[in-house]
Amino acid sequence: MIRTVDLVKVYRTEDVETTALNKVNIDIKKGEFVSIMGPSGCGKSTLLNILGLLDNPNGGEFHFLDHEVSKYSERQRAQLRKENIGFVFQSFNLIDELTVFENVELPLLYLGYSSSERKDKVNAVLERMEIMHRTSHFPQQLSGGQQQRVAVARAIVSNPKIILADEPTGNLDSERGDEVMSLLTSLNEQGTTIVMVTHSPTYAEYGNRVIHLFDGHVVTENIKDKEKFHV
Amino acid sequence: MLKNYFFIALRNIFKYKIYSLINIVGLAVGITCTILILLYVTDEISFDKFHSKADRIYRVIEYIDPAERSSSLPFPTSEAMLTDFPNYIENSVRFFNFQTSTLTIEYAPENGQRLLFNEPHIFFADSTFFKVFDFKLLQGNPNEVLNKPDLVLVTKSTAQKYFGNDDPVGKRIRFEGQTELTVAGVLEDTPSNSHFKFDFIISFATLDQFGFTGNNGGFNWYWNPCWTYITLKEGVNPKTLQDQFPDFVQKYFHPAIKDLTRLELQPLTDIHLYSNLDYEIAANSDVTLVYIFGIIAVFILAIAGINFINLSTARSMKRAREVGVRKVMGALPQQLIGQFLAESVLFSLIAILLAIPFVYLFLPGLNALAAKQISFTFITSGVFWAALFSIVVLVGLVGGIYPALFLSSFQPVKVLAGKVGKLGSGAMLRKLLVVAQFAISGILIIGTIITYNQLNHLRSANLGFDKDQVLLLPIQRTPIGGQQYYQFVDRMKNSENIIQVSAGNMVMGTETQTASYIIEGKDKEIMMSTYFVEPDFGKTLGMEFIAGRDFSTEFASDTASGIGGVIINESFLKLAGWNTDNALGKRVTGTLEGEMRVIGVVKDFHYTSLRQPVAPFLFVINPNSQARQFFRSFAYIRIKGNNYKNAIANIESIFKDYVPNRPFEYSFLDEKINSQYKGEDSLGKIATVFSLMAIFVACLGLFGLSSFTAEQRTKEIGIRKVVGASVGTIVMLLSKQFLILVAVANLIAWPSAFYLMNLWLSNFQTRTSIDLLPFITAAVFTFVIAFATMSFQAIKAAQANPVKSLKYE
Repeated sequence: MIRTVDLVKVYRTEDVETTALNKVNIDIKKGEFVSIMGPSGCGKSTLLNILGLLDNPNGGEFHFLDHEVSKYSERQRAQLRKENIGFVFQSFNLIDELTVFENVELPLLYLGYSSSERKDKVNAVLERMEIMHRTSHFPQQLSGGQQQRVAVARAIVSNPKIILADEPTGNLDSERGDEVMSLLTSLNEQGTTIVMVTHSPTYAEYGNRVIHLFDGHVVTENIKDKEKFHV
Repeated sequence: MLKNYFFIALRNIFKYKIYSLINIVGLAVGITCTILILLYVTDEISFDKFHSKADRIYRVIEYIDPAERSSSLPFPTSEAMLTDFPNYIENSVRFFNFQTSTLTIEYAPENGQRLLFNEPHIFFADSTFFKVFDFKLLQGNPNEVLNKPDLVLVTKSTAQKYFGNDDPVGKRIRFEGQTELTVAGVLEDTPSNSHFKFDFIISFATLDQFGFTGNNGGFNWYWNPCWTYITLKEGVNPKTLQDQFPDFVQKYFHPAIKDLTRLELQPLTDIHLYSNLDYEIAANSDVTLVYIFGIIAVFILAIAGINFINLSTARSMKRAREVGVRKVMGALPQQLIGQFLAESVLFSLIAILLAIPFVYLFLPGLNALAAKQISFTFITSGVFWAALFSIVVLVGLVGGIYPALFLSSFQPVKVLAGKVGKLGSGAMLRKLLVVAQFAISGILIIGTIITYNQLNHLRSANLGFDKDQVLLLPIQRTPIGGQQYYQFVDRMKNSENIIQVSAGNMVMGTETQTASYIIEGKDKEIMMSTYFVEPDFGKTLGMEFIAGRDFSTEFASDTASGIGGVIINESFLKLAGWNTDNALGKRVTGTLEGEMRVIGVVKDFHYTSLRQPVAPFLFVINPNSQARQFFRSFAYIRIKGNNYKNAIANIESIFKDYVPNRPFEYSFLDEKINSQYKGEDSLGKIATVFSLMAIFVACLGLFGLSSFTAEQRTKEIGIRKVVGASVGTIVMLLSKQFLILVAVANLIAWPSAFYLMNLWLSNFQTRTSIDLLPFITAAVFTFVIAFATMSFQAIKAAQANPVKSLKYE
């Protein structure tokens, strides 16, 4: 589903050049739950941004659903992204001026669903996330856990093939964190591929594979259920 | 999708109330000013266009080189043109009003109140009046109402004034105490956008009994008192007709002037804005004002638009996350641009909704300042709404496009990582725009001050005569103007509080007429400005003689027929090549007056407005006593300043002894002269109002921007305070960057204003000198007001508790 070959990302400012990713090779199959770990600045978020088609690499190959996308324009990436990827962020990134319903509806708007289809889908996902009673509230009126549930709802409302989660538990206490993790686990069990960046070894263990990044390199890969995925 | 855009826009408006208020109020004020100015401009350019043949109607005008640019023509021109150019001209109509400012109308019903008024808007007109123009006749048959002598048409409100609710048709009124006229019909009141206004139209045939339409002593192709309008046949090129005028002039015009005369066709619709000829049928406006106000409108709208751009981009980080999230969700840049443009159009829509009541509120003020009668009924006009809609879209798009491009260009990777605090781009543009706003404000302030300086200069300029304490009494066609003039003068001179009395046919300092003269030693006629006056004219007006003397009753030859006297000005002296020692006794031969001798020379003086140069000029006592009666238009009466009420009472009682049948009416010379600068006066007032508006809107923007900066620098201020900075230094720190911008703005405003105002002043022959004061005033004013605006935010930020501000991030 996702395959990178010698992926390179370099950041340049006026007088400093930082190599964020240095020949990263990873391969993620449909239905996997992959955790990416590593210290601050190791390139986790950069990798996730590229995997999420938010950013282009400087070198190497990136195959996303059989497309070689490393040279794709923003417009092409946007098209692939909105059809296939759901995002969950550490800081939730809900739009303050939109209600819960409207936030969750957003991806469907850009996918061009009709008003009645949107209504059905949003209500279904909100029900599943158990926040139906909050549909007309604004994000600030919700607790952190509720906000992240809304963010997850938004990520899955369009039935993406893959969910990218950037430290989804980072801003939550452990109880809420556990809730979000079990949500992701159950999504994975229903067939959604999940890639998650995390600091927490405990939560990383929810995945069936853990990729360790250090200074832009993949250093180790812990693989569980090897036979399941025939790696 | 639109619903989503709409709600997020609306919620943002309510969430950031101050910001929204600044934007909306600024835009509303800008749009209000623009609408008001547009209404003014629309009214100005609509003049005379309501006639269905407006594009084919021309006024024939007469240039007599070098001195006369006449808007009127000799009596027989109209008929001769119809005869000579039947293939070109469909119709023509003449207007005549004895060249006086008022004429008397009396209505004395058998059983009822006698009414007597001096009427300023009376014209004699040909029966073709309705064939050329579309003025509406409410009662009467247009083919009959003007086709016989002694018929008169009155406007609806004039009928109301004289006859109340009675049927006006058939009523009899008395014109100038001697002619009975019968009301033959009722006209609709003159539209306010007609270049001349009438209350009475008298049939032209009535004039036969006054002896004007005949031969006029051989001068009927010389004297040119008739405003003449022609309708060209459809498809006729005015140029081809005009090309035949030189032959026409040679064929008909008086020998003394036919080599100097040139006829032209002036489009009817150009008269109001472009015509500034001699003897205009009514005072016209000036297209310069239309341009100036148009520019001011664009300026104010630009300032309001800049606020919008600046505040939107300054605030962009508040929307950055939204942009990031939307992009992650798959929004394309053009979708985001569309969203933000829709938002700015929404802003401008709300502003317009606010502007409409503002316009309603301020329209009477504009009408008063610009002497207009624009009514609020424009609100029902489709054109108005179309224009309004265009403004909404224009302001929304122009103001919104940059912020939209700016916001939609955010990289989601960066904004979602919280890297928007360092958004440096756009800061330079904001600075440039603030400079533009204050430069415009500076130009408006400087322009306003210089306009007022010029106005004062025009009013207080040394005209070469003393215009104060001179009362003008209309005496034309009264016994005073006729046989009893000298008797009247004697009685006046013996009356208390009256210093000197004379008479003349023009209002000194505002108008002139021209006639042709041959100067001794030169063989050709020259057109020159002339006043026909009476003895003591120079004395009454306090003029300075550099040779010879004033006309006086002590010299019988001055007023006798035969060889008359003439007083010339310095320019005449130069033209003739004489000097003060040899000029007296020289011969000047007038086409109208015959041979005359120079008896005095006066210093040059401004016989017309200060817009016109001073040229050779002469004062003449017309040797023909019959003609002289006609030319005694005004008695000039110099009164003692300290007791003018008694003086006026004395004048009135003497006037009533001679003229019991005419209302006593007078004016003051200085007021007449000053009223020539009404255009400049209203320009000054309107410019003041709009300059203040412009500065207000610019300050609104500065207020918003400085509050934004203060907010953005909260952390820095906190750190500075922790390490010991005082409130004062922080206020300076925050204000400094804006004060630099205001300084730069002034540097741009000064030369621009200097250039523009010089351009404007070049319209005047006499102009105020441009000194530093207006520039310094503008600088001080913009600095003080900008500093006051910013320090409010700066002090608030500086006084905040650093502990709180450090927690902010």
